[in-house]
Amino acid sequence: MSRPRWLTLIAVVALVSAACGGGDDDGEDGDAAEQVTLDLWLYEEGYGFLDELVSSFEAENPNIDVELTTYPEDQFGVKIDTALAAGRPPDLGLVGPELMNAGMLLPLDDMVQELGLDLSTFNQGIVGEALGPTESCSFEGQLYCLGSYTGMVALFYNKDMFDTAGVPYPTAWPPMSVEEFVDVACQLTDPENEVWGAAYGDPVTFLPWETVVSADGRTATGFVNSPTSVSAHAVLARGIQEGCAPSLNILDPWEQGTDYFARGQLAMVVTDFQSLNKIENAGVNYGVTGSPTAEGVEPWFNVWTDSIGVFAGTEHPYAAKQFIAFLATEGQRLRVEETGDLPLDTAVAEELDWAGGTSGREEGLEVLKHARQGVFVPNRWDTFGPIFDAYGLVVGGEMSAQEALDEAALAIQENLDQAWEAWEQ
Amino acid sequence: MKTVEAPERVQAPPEIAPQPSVLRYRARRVSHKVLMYALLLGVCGFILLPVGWMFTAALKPDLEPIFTPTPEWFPSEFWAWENFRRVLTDVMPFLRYMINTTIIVVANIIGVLISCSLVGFAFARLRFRGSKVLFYILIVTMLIPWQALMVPQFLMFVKLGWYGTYLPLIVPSFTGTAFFIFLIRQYMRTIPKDLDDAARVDGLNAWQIFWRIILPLSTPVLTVCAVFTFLWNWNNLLGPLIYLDSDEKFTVAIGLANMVTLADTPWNLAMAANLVSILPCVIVYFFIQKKLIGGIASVGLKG
Amino acid sequence: MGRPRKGLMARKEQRAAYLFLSPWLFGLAALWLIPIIASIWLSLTEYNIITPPEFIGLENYREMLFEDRTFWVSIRVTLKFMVLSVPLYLVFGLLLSLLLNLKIRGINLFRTIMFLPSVLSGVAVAVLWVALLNPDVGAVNSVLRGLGIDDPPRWLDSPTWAVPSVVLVGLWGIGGGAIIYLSGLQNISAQLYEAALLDGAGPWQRFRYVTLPMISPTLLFVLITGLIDAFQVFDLAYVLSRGGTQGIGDSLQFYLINLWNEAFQNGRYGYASALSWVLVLAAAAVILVIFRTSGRWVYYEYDPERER
Repeated sequence: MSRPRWLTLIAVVALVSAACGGGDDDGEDGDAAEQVTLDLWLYEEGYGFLDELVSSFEAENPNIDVELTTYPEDQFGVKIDTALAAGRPPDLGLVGPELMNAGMLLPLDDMVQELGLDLSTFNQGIVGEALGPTESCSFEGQLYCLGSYTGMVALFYNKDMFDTAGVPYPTAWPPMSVEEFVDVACQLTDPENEVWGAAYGDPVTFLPWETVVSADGRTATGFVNSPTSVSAHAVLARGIQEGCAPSLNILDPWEQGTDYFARGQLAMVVTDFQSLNKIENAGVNYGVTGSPTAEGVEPWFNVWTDSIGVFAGTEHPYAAKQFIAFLATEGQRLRVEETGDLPLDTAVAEELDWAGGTSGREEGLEVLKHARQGVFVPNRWDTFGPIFDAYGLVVGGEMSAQEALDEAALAIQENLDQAWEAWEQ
Repeated sequence: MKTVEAPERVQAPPEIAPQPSVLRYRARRVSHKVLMYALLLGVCGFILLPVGWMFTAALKPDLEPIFTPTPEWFPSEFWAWENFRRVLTDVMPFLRYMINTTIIVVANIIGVLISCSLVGFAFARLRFRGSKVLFYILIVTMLIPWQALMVPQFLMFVKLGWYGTYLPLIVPSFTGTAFFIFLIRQYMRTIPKDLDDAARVDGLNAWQIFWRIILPLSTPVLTVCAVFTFLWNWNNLLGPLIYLDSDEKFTVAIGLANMVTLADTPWNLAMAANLVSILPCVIVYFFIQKKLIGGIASVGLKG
Repeated sequence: MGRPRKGLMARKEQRAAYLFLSPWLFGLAALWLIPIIASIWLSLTEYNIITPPEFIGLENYREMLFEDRTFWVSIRVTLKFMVLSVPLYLVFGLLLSLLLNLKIRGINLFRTIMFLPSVLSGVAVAVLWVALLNPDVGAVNSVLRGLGIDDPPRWLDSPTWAVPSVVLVGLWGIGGGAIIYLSGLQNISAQLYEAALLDGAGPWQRFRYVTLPMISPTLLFVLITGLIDAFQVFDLAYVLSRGGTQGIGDSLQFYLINLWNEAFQNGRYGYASALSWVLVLAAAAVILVIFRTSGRWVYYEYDPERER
């Protein structure tokens, strides 16, 4: 068994498999009439909405069948990778920057132009012209995906509790600074009635990106441990230490924050804006403002959507793009009707009067107007891993914020260098 | 004279009044039993408490938090028994997933029992050139992390045209699994050689020795293999995930994993789903475990 | 016993052996050979699965040994786990199996209960224990506090207790391993115990001189597979590391977790392959030593090498 021969075989196997991923023919008009089946791969999000979307689309396009398959969120990346390697990617699916970078997706600009879609009312944080890859649908000047809803980080507060304590409401915009936020939280904490003033997650999940990384996304030293970042972390840790907010072991704001807020055990919570529905169902008199920002830094919050894109290996690019077009138009309305979530297209929100006069919703829209570009970092949450640890140490009182963040900065810088190197392959 | 603790078969004849030494030994027997039961119950407690917590979590209605500051053992309002029903019908096609998984599991068990007993027998009781080397190769294959072989093996199966089918999940079991081969080898080597010698004198060949003598005595270890094969395949997530691409073929493991999303996992339903999915395994195990007892200790060395 | 029967008998046995082995040999050639060679080849490349691999020679190995801090951390963590888990599982598994071998009423029920943890999926077990081991609100610490221990360990949040937490969870699942011992106990002839009794042997001596030697083949099996499992810890730590970190200060950075992250998060499947081959070499060395020395303490009723 001569080694070179086997190696060539393996290389050929791998090459052919990967090459099969690239779509060969761009059958445009042919697809319009014949029966076509599209595979759409997602992980479960918005129960009920997806089925509605698919059936409405199929009703409008009787010659197109959409086959919806759900994979576990945690292993979704593995599934897409192996499917691409096998040359059997879906036609449509949830996508991210890695796929755009690898050239595995079809750009959608031609469809947008052809159908004359006006994307200016879509959340610009997601479809806007981006400098460098961000976690949005725009990559190197081209559009690769669209979604149905606008997700963002927001701060909900209980207006009744503010009234009782005689604390003035925060304005919808600009949001409070971290110091103000913690002060108010401590004012509103009521241990006898088991009420915390606020619940918030790790600071890195809601503080502006300037407190972690440079504008090109490659440097962490000097940002993670900048005086602004250090003082923000220290203040937030103090909030927990003084009992104004629960520690993350007791309560995870992302998973349980909404439940506690809805039951009146939290005066404020920094969480997913989509929690709106639960909160309204519980009948809480709520207000919305932006997530707290660090002193001297322009406020920023993360926005996202269910980015659905078209894979380059699809055999029915025209039909697939039709689905995306449907998502961008009728899909927006369906999203509001089925789930009540804020759609990606704010024009539709206005058209359907999504705000409906509820002050909380109006405030949410106001906050949304100030969304600005974030910075892309490959594998964001894993790269920033050490800062989660650091925060935990500060909260536990085992280290000062400066020390912990200095250490974290070194570790994150290492991660960043590795991540960017791998990205550029 | 030492008080010898007699095996359980010996009993004091009823018509003779119990002597003090006999009374002492009976008392020791009873306290021994009590001790054993106490130990068993203690260990069971350690095992069951977490499972019990899962059960109470599964019973909580939708909006009630599962992970509370002080563990709340039981739902405060009402016990949502319907969660178990919901899991079977509403959330996902659970029944179909179970059927799919059963097919894969049964096929694997058949494959493992056939192939591993054959190969294990060779390593256990046959003398042949290269046995040492081949055995070491067997062990080394156990050392290779499946993560490393996952992608190359996946590409190979794709090339064979087996993507999207159950074949990559079933066929390998018919070629032996190192873990079970090793286990069977160790087990078969504890069967005394006298049986073999007698058989050879009678002119039996290797196959007959295997089929008529060794295999029947190997029920305990084969049961272990079957049970473990059942478990591994029932809970196997990555295999079905990368080879299957249509919901109709999905397995229980995929269904369970689909319930866990980073944003909004319905933990009560997820716990209920897990509990429902282990029922078949537990039932099968309960009935099959008497096969774990067998071998020489029960049969004896006669013929 | 006759002299070694060379010639026809031996050749017949040789042929029979290879016939018995044929399913496995076929599987090796057809299903294992190509992926193994491919995996070795991939360890010499940079590969992210969705684009073709790029040959870089021994660069992965060099980087691993000289530049990768996480590599050495993962070795340390895995070794710590191994040292704790292997002896504990070995001993407790054996003890539990002795308990489960008792012929008392209801033993079937007990055996089924012991087996329950093994039946649950790895993810379910992990989620369960993460909740139970929560330092502030978990049931375990609540119980400990109730018993008067003011400052119970912070389990998965604590660098010193993180690995022991994983060991503890494994211990909870020891029932699965106990049934392996149980099967091994089945071939110990009652006559041996009777003979020992007649010689005046007490319970401990019967255990030491009858049970242990007769069960030593199974012990070897559990030892080897226990070591292999310790090298390859994955499931529990994988679920726990979803927060983006592997325990405080990398205290749960097991070898295979690092490997998995490199493969599927950093998109470096080539590097991950290199990591796995280093693992194979290290594990093979350890296990070879154990096999070599096993002749001294493992007793086989039937050893083909010995007999003829």
